[in-house]
Amino acid sequence: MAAVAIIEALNTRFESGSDVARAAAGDRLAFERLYREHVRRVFSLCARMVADRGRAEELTQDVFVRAWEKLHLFRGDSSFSTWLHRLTVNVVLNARKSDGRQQSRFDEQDEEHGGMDALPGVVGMPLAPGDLLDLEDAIERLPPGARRVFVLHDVEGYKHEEIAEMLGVTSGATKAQLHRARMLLRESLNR
Amino acid sequence: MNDINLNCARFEAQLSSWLDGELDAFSAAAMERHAADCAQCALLAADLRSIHTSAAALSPLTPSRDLWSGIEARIAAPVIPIGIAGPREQSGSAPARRRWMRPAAAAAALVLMTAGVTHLVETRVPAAPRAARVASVPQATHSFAPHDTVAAPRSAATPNGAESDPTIVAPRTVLASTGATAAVPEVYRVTGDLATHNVETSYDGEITRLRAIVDHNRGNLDSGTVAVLQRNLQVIDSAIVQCQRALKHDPGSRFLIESLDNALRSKVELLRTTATMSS
Repeated sequence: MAAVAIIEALNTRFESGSDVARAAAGDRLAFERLYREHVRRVFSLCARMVADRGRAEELTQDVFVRAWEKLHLFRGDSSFSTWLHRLTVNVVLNARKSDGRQQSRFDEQDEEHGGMDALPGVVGMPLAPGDLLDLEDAIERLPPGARRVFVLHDVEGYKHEEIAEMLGVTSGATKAQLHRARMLLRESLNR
Repeated sequence: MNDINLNCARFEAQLSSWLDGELDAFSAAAMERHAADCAQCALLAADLRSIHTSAAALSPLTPSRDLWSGIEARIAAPVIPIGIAGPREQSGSAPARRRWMRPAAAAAALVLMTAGVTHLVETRVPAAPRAARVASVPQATHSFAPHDTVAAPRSAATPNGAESDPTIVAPRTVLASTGATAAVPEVYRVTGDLATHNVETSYDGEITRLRAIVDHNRGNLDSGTVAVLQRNLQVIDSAIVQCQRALKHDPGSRFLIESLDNALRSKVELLRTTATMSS
């Protein structure tokens, strides 16, 4: 009887018979289906935030493991996709903190070195005339602080206030980083 | 700030704010006028607008490999089968003691925290009848009453409708003993929101399986080790009961739900370590 009550309650709380409800009740196959449905979006966010596809794959796994662990806390009054998306941002930002890199607010080294050409691997390697980087590559080459804000704002649609809260900075700082990112991208794309 | 005639430097400084619709009408009109008069700034604005539009329309990326197997391995948290575990450690050896003292120490900390919270909550809220309190170690049987769920206030939504913290949950949960659990000592009853319910039920199966292994192999452990195990389990169970009591009075507390989660996790960890040692 208890099991029946649980399933009924889950179905009421979430979309009837949904994989989210089943996964929340411990169904790994249902959770795998959720993974298949959402993995590309999660991976895209991770990859664009960290600009490292290998690291992004690790973070994607971390996100889904975390989602599995936290699914019982999912209220169901926002979409699972939205919940997972925000969880992804948190995992990526927390990983940045725990990676132990010396990162002050918005990576002071970004400010010191200025633009995209100052990044490792790009220094002293001007692009050949007429060579046009596509936007995806250009985003990867952005300095980390500017890239994070650009991805969260222009790619993912978060507001400055939300980004500022997530990153622990002021919205004025995120606006400055966003403008800087756009200008650097323009410079890169116009080469 | 509200210059009627902008120069190019001011135009560029305000450009992103303009494109994002964050300028007041007066400033926006000044930007429009400048863009109409200055081809270079108009081109700059068009480029940034194009970047913004293109970024929002980027296609999803695909991982180079299937990541599911790695995820599945991590979420499986399998019970270590009897006989498959690694080399057996000497019961009560220092490394082993350290391993299983870890969850117990964490649980002891939880006891202190939740005891404090319980005290605060109980002194603030009129005391409930003793008969309604959870009095035994949580373990196996649950019943669920969804009608006890009460909508919790929502946090601010993102532009996509996201919660500000995806893990925040504010369930309205009432924990109560059945009052008829004497014949089954490890029975408790949960009524309320799924959040708290799922915290507990998600561990029950694992705890039951691990307990069965430990009980089956109890003979492989020396009496001192068994005594340490029992003491540590008591500490953890005490933390669980404290959390449940506190949740009864403050069912919307995320802290308490997570504390309960941590205590149950500690119990699983301790039993898993013991199962490994005993097999």
